[in-house]
Amino acid sequence: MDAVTRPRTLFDPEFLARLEQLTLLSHRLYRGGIRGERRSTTLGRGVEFADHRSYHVGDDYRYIDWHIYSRLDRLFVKLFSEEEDVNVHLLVDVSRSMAWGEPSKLDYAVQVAAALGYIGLANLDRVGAVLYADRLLRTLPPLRGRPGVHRLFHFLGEATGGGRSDLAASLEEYAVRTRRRGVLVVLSDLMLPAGVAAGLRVARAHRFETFVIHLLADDELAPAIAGDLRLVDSETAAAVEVTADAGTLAAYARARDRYLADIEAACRRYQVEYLRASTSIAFDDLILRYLRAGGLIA
Amino acid sequence: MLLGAPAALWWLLLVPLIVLLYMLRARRQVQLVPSTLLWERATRDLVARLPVRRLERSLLLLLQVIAVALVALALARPSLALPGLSGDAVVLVVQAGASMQATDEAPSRLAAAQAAAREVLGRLGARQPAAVVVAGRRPVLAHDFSTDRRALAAAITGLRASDARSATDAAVALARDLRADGRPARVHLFGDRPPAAPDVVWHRVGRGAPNAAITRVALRAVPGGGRLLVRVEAFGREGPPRRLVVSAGGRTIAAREVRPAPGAPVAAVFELPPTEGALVVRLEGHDALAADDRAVLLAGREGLPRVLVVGEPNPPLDAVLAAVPTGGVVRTDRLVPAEWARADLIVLDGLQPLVLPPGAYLLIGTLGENLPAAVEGTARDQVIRSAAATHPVTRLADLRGVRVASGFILRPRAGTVLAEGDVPLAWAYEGQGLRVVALPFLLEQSDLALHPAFPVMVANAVSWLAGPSAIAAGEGPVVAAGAAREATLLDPSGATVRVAAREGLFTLPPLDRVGVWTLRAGAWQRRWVVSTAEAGESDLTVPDPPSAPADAAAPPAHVPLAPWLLAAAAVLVVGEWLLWSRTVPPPAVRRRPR
Repeated sequence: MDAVTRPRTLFDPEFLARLEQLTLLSHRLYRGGIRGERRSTTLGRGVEFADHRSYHVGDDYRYIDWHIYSRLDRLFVKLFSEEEDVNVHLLVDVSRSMAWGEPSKLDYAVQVAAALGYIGLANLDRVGAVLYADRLLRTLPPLRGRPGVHRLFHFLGEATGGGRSDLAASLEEYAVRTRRRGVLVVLSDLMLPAGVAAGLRVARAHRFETFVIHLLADDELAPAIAGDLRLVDSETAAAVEVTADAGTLAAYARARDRYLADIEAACRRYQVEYLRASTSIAFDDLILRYLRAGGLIA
Repeated sequence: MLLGAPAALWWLLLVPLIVLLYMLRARRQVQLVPSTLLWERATRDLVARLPVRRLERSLLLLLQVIAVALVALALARPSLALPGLSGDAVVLVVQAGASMQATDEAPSRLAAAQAAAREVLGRLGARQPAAVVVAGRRPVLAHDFSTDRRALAAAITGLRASDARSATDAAVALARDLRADGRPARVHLFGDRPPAAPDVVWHRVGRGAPNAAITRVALRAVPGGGRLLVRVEAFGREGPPRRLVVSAGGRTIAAREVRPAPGAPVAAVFELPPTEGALVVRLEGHDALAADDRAVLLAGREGLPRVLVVGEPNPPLDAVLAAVPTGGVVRTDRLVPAEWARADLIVLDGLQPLVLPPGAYLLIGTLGENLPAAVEGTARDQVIRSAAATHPVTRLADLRGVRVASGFILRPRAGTVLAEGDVPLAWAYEGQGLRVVALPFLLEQSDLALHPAFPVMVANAVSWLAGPSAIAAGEGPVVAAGAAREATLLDPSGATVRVAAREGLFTLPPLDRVGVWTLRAGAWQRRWVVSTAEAGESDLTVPDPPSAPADAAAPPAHVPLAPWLLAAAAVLVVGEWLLWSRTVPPPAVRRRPR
């Protein structure tokens, strides 16, 4: 299968300056061993109250601020800051289907991963990156500090791939390779015939705090095709013959909605944060608005 | 419907090709997608809705097939030839004379004319009225204006050719006088005789064929029998010799061979023994028209009028009646009008005026009360100074110089004065079921019985009053019914028709077949010999149409159908496109992340 290629340019300096003001959030305590510059919600060593945020499914209800709840009738959790480092694992799906879209889902995923990695490195977190398809293809060992930015960007900028996607196998392999647990960010289109549950179960079993960023192209959400077609799967070369008319497209919409609902249900079951984004969304909007609203960065 | 380019119909082969492509499903376009995961699930979802989708696809196929068929048909440049498309009414005049029985068109000229008329009828617009006129001996409106094609076609099909002459010009005149919604109609003539009017569309029928015909027969009494004169003519070209046979009562009594040539008729004379009854003369052999190969006449006293004389014996009158050819003279002094119907002619001699039943009367010195004439006193010493020489009663009977010593003054309000001095002295009237010759004086009051014109006038009067026993085909005689209310009419083949009396008269239908017709009412009967006696019907030559086509004045309007077909095809294509456009995916929606 042809290799996936993508543009090499990532961010401009102005955008990087805005990223430096952000911090990756983690709801759990991970023993990084080295004191960092990021804030977390840990209760153990961190005792300095920092802020409140809305309660999300999976949050430890012991940190719910019941005083605010009594006044506002809304659930908020208390955020404590502690200067420590957190392991951040960026898993980027480089399977063949990621080459789709305008811009391609892979380019979009690389940019998001680079932005998240930059935020982590700027806050002295340990940031590692993995390119996977049906297995781990390339791995970037954990980096720490701003000097690692160039290596991270270079690693992501050279991301190529192809083949099929197998999240569960790749995670299983990655979990074996690294003993460090932490925030696991999966960037994928999740076109997994077996479903996403197996992969999430692996992540949950290895105690990663998982955040799934589901990237889809507009063509996948609403295909603009018509007529009698023989659709060929870019990953498996499997073919499906369809007559793309209104009825077929309606059936596709129903299948799409069911599939997305299944993914969301699996994420809730395994306490995984989930964010779905179309590649037509402006990249900075995704980072500065939606990921902040989703609780991955602050 | 006419096709300007019938070869274009080969495009219809595209129809099965389209169906075949649908059946085979045209090769699908290959398109790469990131994943077929969702398409596979969508395809499974569609299985439950397959019947509906098949129906939609079938409708698309049907629309495509119809559109292609319409376009192919339009390329063939079809058009409809519609004479009189403007909606003008049409009168279809069909000749039904003897010549239309000719078999030079299979099965006959009349059948060909009927077929042509029905074809024109079928090309008329749905709201275009038509009427049917039959050109027989007299023109008859067979069906008035109507748009009921079935009824009109039935009227055409029901026409029968007679042995009579075809009154074509009279029929055309009738057709031109007809009005449909106050507007004149276009006249189409179907037959073998061209119309005199130039604006009539003539549909020529008949190819022309040689024919031999008996054009005249005459029988004269001679001592020891009769002398039969038969004239045979040939038309077209000379044919083979024909055998001319005379028979009576089914037995041949004379025969000879004749060979007429065009322009050279043959006159055959037969000396016959005394014969009573019908004589049949026929030409043996076959030609295109059989109706004129046969003639019939009555011999002997058969067919002559029977005379009833009511009054005192009158020797001069009796002597003349005995000399005149009649079927018998009966004298009576009983004044019983109910018995008069047994005679063909009643002579009332010197009776008081009375109401005359319908019939034929020779009135001598008397008058009927129901006649359109009045009696105004007595005329004396009259001399006939003028007589109507052209009237059948006074033809060859010069009554001038006849003196009348005394008579009544006749003031007729109708009829014809046959002779007169200072006052009318002989009068003829026909009407109201009556045919009358009246002399307003007694024979003994004049010297008429001594005048040479008297027997001639009596013979003429008997002949005119009794009416002819030989008539041309197509005539419908009117005879007195007397006391009878119903009679039976027998045609030459023996078929019968009931005829009811109206106002004392039997009005017979047209006697349109050659032969002997008989009207019977109880013991009384009257016979007529019907003949064609129309040489023009025997000439089967059909004139060529005018140099310009007869119907060039109104060429059939060819209405092209291609624009309509193409428009229909365009509508179907648009409809098919609109239906298909339901399959076009909606524009991509910019979806916002959660």
